[in-house]
Amino acid sequence: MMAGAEIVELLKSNGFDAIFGALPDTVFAFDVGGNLVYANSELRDRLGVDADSYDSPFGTLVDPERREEVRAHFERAISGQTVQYTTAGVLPGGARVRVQVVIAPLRSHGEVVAVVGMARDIEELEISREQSTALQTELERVLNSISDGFYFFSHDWTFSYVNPRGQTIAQRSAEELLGRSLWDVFPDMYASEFGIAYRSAVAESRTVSVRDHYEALGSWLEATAYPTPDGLAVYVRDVSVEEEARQQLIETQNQLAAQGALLDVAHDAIIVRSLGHVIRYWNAAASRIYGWTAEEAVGASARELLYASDEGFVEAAAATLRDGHWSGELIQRTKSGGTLVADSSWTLVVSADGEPESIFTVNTNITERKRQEAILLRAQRLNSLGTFAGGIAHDLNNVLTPILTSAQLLAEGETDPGRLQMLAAIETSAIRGAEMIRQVLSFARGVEGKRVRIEALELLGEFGELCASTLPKSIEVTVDAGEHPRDVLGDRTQLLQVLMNLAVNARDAMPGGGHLTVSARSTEVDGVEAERQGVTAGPFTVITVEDTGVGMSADTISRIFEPFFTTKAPGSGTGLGLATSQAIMSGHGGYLRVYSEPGHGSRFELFLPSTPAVVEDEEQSRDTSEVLPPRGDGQLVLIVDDEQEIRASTRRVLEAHGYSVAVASQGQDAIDYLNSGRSSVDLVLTDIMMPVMDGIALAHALAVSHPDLPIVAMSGLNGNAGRVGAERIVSFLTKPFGSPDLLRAVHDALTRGRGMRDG
Amino acid sequence: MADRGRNPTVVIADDDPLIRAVLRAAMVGDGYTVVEAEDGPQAVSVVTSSSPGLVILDARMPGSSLADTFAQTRARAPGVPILILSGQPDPPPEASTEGCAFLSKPVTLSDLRAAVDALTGSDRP
Repeated sequence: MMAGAEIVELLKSNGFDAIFGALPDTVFAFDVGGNLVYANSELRDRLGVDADSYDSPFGTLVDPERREEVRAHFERAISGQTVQYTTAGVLPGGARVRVQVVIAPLRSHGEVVAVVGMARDIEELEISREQSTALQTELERVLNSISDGFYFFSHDWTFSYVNPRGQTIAQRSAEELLGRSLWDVFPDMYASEFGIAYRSAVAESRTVSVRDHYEALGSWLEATAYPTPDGLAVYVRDVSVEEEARQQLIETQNQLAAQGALLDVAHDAIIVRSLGHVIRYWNAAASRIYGWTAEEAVGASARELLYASDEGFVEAAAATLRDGHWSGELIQRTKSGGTLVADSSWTLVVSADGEPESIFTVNTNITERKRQEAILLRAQRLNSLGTFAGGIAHDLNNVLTPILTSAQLLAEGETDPGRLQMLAAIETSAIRGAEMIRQVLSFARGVEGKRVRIEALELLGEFGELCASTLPKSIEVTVDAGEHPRDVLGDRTQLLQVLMNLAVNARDAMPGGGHLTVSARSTEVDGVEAERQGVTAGPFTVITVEDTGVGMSADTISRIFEPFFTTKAPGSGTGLGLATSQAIMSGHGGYLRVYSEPGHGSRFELFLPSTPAVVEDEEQSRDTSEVLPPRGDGQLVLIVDDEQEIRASTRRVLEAHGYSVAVASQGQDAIDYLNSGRSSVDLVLTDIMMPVMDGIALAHALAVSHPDLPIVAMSGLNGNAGRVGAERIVSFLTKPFGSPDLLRAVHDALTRGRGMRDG
Repeated sequence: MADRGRNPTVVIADDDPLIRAVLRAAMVGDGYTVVEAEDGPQAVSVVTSSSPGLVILDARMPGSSLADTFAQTRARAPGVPILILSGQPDPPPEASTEGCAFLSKPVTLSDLRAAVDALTGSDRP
């Protein structure tokens, strides 16, 4: 058996000691008896151990608690095994260190003669390893806790890490992912937006973000790839919910746009805006109504765009937020700077979770309607005024008669110049008063009149002659025939009255002389203009009267059709001329249009509906084509009309057909005639529009005094047909009417009237 | 009809006394004898009793219609010219019959005289 010294010698002889001395680790040898036979310089010098002082392999350098363990390792080494173990060592100062030990048997002639070993202080290594583990644990904890997916890929694209959320997103466990290639797990990812982004992140060493729908997972993903020295870190958010919401919004917007396409053909402006009134949606009607395109309006503040002031707006907004809805009229402005009246309806749009989201507004432009309402109101006012005027005109004329005649009588015997002057003043005033009454009366019944075919050029010629004889020589009158304008249906006298009124105004606008041009042309009035003017669209004949006078301001133009508005000196105009003209035009189904420039002149245009190109004599064609009702049997018909021509023609037709006829020129005359009881009147045929007592008033009166007497009403205004049924009016004739219409109405009324009486 | 020197009679029928007064003044000044009537029936009555050379009728008077008064006047005094005066500007149908004229009130003296002259077919009496 080799002694310890021999072993040492062996170690030394082989130069081992020099090598072992250079190692940072301790190298040692024990004989089989457990005596330390060799210690390298590290062991000797640093730990102060040598063969003489150290007793056993599990001696003082080993933690007392671990000595038995070490003894067992030693026994195994003696038995021929190489043993590795970690144990706790105790340094001379008492400090404990973790030590990694390897021991192996040393044989001589097959016999284990010693155990040689090496021990390494791994304390620092362990600490750093522990620290590293702690760090990794912490990192994992963080990665596990974050709600987004986190993946690490090695350079070969294998998954080297995936957090739990990452597993959820990938719909695969860590086991299914780790160590496998991304492209193997998700083959179709390579060519996806994600694959492209990841590879470019690696290739270009830059952070790349991508958001897309990933089919294989059925998810919307938002990924950010960060290149690292070890590969690629990828941070992934599942944005499906968010994206679906966004997609839904887009879809909703598309739907809205689709609906908008429908709504675009509608009249109303449809505007969607945020609670802060920022416009989000603006349909085509809104563009039409306000002038701003959707591009201009969307993103702008509705308050600033559409409202000149907070008036109305603030209240509407508050009510909408409070009650969820508001509707009413608002004054809004347009791009061109105009204002309009909107019938506005505001609705609060609430999101699925109950939060107010936006305000949905529908605006109807009722400017025109309001204007029409105002016109209607004015027409009604004028109508009452007309009735009133007609009623007092007669009395006023009676009042003026003694004044005028007396003044003239007194003047005849008078020689005193002062008195003559005063009498002349009385006379002039009375005549002026009478003239005003005439105009008021004319205005009061301006809408009623004959309707005969009139050649526009003929009318123009007649007007030209009137102008030439009426206007001063300083005014040059030109009648421009131009093309041959279409004929119109109308009352020649009334139309000449309108034209003469314009001529007189033109004369007054040209005190120093000037040029008056009268012309006629054919035109078409389209639906929009027709609606604006309250007429029926179609072919129109336009008569234009243009002067080179002082012109009118916009303010004046806006008022010229108001009754009693005049720019003339007090006493020289009634302010009824244009109001009457307009009423006459309206009665003809036409309208008056004015254009003027201050300092340059005015142009008035008379729009009259043209008559059809070919018209047969209506009365005759109907006479032959229609079966006439049975002849009358001498029944007495009382015709009440203020127009002699109508009375005469109606009388002719009725008498020719077997009726007796009595006539009255006004309502009171008719009542007087009936009350006289001279003859038994069987039927009253009355005009609706008559001065003083009109047809309706007559019907009212007869309902009381002659309740059984049937009444047939006639009028040039179709609107009066709505009054049929009032009192005893059994039917209604619209002027101009043909003989068959008249005879049928009379026959039917008599038959029905007898039925009523008999029943 | 008016006969100078014999003071022809004119019937003035109007319910307004002031109008009757001025018309009377004008007609008397022109040499007529005036008989007044306040309404239709009275007019018919005086026309019958006074054999007038001219009748001036207001178109609207109480008691009867112009048509009635006119017709009865014509019946009682055939051929006697009638001048109708009215507060309305438009002439009644009777105005367009033979021997009839129309003036709307207020009437000027010259219009009145011209109408009377035309109807009576002579110079003023």
